[in-house]
Amino acid sequence: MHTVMHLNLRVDPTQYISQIREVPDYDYIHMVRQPKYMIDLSLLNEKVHYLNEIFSPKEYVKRNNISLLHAHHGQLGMLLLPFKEETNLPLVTSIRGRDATLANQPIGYLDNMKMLFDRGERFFPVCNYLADRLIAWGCPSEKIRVLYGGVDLNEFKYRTPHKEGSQNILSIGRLVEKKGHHILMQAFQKIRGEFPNATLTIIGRGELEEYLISLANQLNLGDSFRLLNHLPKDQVREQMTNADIFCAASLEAADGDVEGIPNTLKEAMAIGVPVISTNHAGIPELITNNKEGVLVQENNVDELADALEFMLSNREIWETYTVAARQKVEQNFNLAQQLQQQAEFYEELVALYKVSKQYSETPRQIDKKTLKETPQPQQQGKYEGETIAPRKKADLAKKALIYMQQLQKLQELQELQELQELQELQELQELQELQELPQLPQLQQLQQLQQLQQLQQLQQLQQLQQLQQLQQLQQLQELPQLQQLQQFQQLQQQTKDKVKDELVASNKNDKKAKIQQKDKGNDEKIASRKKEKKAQKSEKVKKALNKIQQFQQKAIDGQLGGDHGGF
Amino acid sequence: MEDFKTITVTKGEKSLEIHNPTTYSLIGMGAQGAVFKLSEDKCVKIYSDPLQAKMEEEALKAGKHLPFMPLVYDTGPNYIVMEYFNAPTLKEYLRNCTYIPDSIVKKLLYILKELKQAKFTMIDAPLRHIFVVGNEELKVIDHVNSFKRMHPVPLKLLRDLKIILLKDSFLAQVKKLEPDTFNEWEDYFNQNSLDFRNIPVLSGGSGSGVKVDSAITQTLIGKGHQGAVYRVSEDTCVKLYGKTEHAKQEKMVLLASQDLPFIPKVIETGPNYILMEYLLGPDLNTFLKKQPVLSEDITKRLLYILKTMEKSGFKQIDAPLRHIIITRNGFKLVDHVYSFSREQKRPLELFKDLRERNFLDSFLEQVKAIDPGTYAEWTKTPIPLTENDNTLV
Repeated sequence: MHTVMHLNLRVDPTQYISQIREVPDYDYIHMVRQPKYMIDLSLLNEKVHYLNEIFSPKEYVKRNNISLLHAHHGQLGMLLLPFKEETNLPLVTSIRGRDATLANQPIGYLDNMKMLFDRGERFFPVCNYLADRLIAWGCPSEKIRVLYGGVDLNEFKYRTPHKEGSQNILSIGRLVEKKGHHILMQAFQKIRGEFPNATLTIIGRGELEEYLISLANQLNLGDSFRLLNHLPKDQVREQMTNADIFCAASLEAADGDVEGIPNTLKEAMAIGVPVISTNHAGIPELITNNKEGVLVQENNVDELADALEFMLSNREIWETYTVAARQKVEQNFNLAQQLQQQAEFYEELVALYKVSKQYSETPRQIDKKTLKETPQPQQQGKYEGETIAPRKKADLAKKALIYMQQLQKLQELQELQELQELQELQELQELQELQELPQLPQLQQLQQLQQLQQLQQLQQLQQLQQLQQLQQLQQLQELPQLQQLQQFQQLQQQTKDKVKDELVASNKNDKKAKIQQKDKGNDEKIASRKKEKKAQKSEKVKKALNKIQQFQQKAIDGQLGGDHGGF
Repeated sequence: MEDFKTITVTKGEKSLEIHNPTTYSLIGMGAQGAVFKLSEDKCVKIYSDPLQAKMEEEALKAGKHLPFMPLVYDTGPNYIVMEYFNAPTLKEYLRNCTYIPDSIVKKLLYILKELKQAKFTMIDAPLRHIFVVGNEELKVIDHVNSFKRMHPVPLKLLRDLKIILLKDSFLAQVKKLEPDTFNEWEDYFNQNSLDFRNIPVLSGGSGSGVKVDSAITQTLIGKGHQGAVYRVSEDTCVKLYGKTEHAKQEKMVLLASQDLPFIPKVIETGPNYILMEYLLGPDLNTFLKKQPVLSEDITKRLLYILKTMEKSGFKQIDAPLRHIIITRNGFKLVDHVYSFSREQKRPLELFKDLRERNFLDSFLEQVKAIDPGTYAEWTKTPIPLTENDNTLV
């Protein structure tokens, strides 16, 4: 079993402990920066270590048999860079809302993040919105895997929404600006006349406590408003279960601080409380307006008040929301499933790294290089057979297959890069195609992955050139001015997400068959272009491709229970 | 204009004594002198010892050409009027930073190089003596010991960087930018690595702590009146004593109590040292700072330690919070020099520490519920609020 050294902020039950301690098939070391960050005795065990107390990183890694580093914030990723350099281990960095803002950050933050993008192997933003931010900051998209945080569905059990009676609105979150509590309180005040029995409860602690209390007085909220400071976890859950409506009024703070996707929102949805939230950050990835809940514009008292009023007046439709919401959480935000996903992302990296070790290269070199050179199937098989023997063979083969498919995809991206000059004409055509596509919402539904994929590459490779092309096109096609150019770039980023989602999805076992089919279709679509490309490709790459295919076949055999060579 | 010369700074018993009849505000005070702000860009440092004024004056003169030195406007027998920097120190500037910016690394290396070239013997500066003025320009103050102390390697700088977790990223960049400098430092540390079996630690006399060789400060964990503790390896540390008598006393306690779970394991002893297990974890005082309430679990653990000490014949029954280390193998209690010799039945220092954390009342309440006998023992006579005070709780 591999051991991952996790570095998070504190040994503290609120700090995503399951992402450290419950990843299937991966042992852990729970590292914090200094002993003072160990603040919960019940979580103290022999796997809690302190970064500043490590005497010799090399010796430490050897002794604890560590294969992977995982920092749970951008800043912690930077902190691990010297350790990584010393020990040559691959580094994963989780990116949360706080990491994707430049507000209130220490000196050199953006430069350091860019350095981390360059040296780190993987980045796990907690939503696509943050993934886009990373890309905008210059993080190579091939290093990004979106990893949503999950809800423990056994802990948060579904109950049908309350059909009648109370009108209790609940909001949970630290008392900081981005949680938008002040907006919710104002919206609540607006609807009180119509719903005199409605109550608002906010649970949280934080710097804005005094301000919110005085705001409540100012708004004359009286007994209908409660601010509960700090409740134990089970009591918070109880409050949630008893609530009629859950609201997260998240917004971008004046200093730029943003959310990822609030966990409390997922939890409320799991329980079956109808939710109202805002179009902020990653929230639309969790809630589609009028489907799993109601979404309004962020920082807008009137819209939020309307939404509250709408919810309170239409009790009979609550269940359609809560059923859809529970389903959404089960599908994409289920803790067990997300931990499995995390393990698969690790698997991919550990495999890459081990191959790189055999070539005695650093993981950083190989990460760039694997896009060109495919690992030797025999060696890879042999390695996995040696070290992961106890695992189920079919499972292993499945994973290898997925991994190889991903490699192949990445390789295709690389091929595109290599051929950029020859493809200028074709790209121009595709650009035109994209501009002819319908507007944003419709585009989101488009499944023309390959095209989009190419566009994504294009943007990365030829931004300048592309801009020129675009300007020409704009003139030709009377495209509106700058605004649409920006919109266009946004579209391209969304296409990137699609591609990324695709990669993510391909990891999921239940979707495997579907993906295989899609791949096949894609292969056909790009077959003609590929032919042309292949003519340009080096012999080396061709050989590698063949080997992947051979390996893939072997893996399929393995999955079917047949002979699987090196496993 | 008021006359700053009417300000006097003299050595007092514990710290400097200042008499300031002017309205100039005190902006800093150290072991040698005090600094007063004269205007937006000028301050005066007044020394208790004219010799030190002379030393600093000379250093500032020798470094006059260096852009990071403060400008000198006026000097006198016990004062220097110099440039005042209304700017953050480098420590403040780097707050929350987890990777030291290369621009800062380059500027620090430049400063060190220039100090060396100017033949300063102290090629070093602590972070709090470096100011970051406009344009990220660095300025270095306090040069009293520039020609006295020998720091061929920036020991203070590295130690300060280690505390804020930036030492590794600093060294990683030095290695790339100036490999020769990096190797020089490494050689220095290798040559000066701790040979604890063969090192004198001089007792500093009553009250002034133990003097330790500054060349090995990198592995220093802490020092007190009786000794200094250094990290030796991943799992071991060594306590070095100024007086062999103290070493003997603590050795006796530790060796006689190795079967007690809260006593650190001893690996080797010598006339003035004890090599023991290195205890990883926060001390209980640090831990309790972050706790909203005192859990009963902690009270039970404390009670267990105190009762076990009593049963095992310890004379000094106490457990100061800072001496308890929360390790993955449970609570450990360190510093046992007087455990067998000083008679003390109630854990007064523990009470004092808990009161400081605002947990004394809940602690006593919990003890009352768990062990009424002990509670009665402890509260038979009032618990003194301070060492000299006998007020009731």
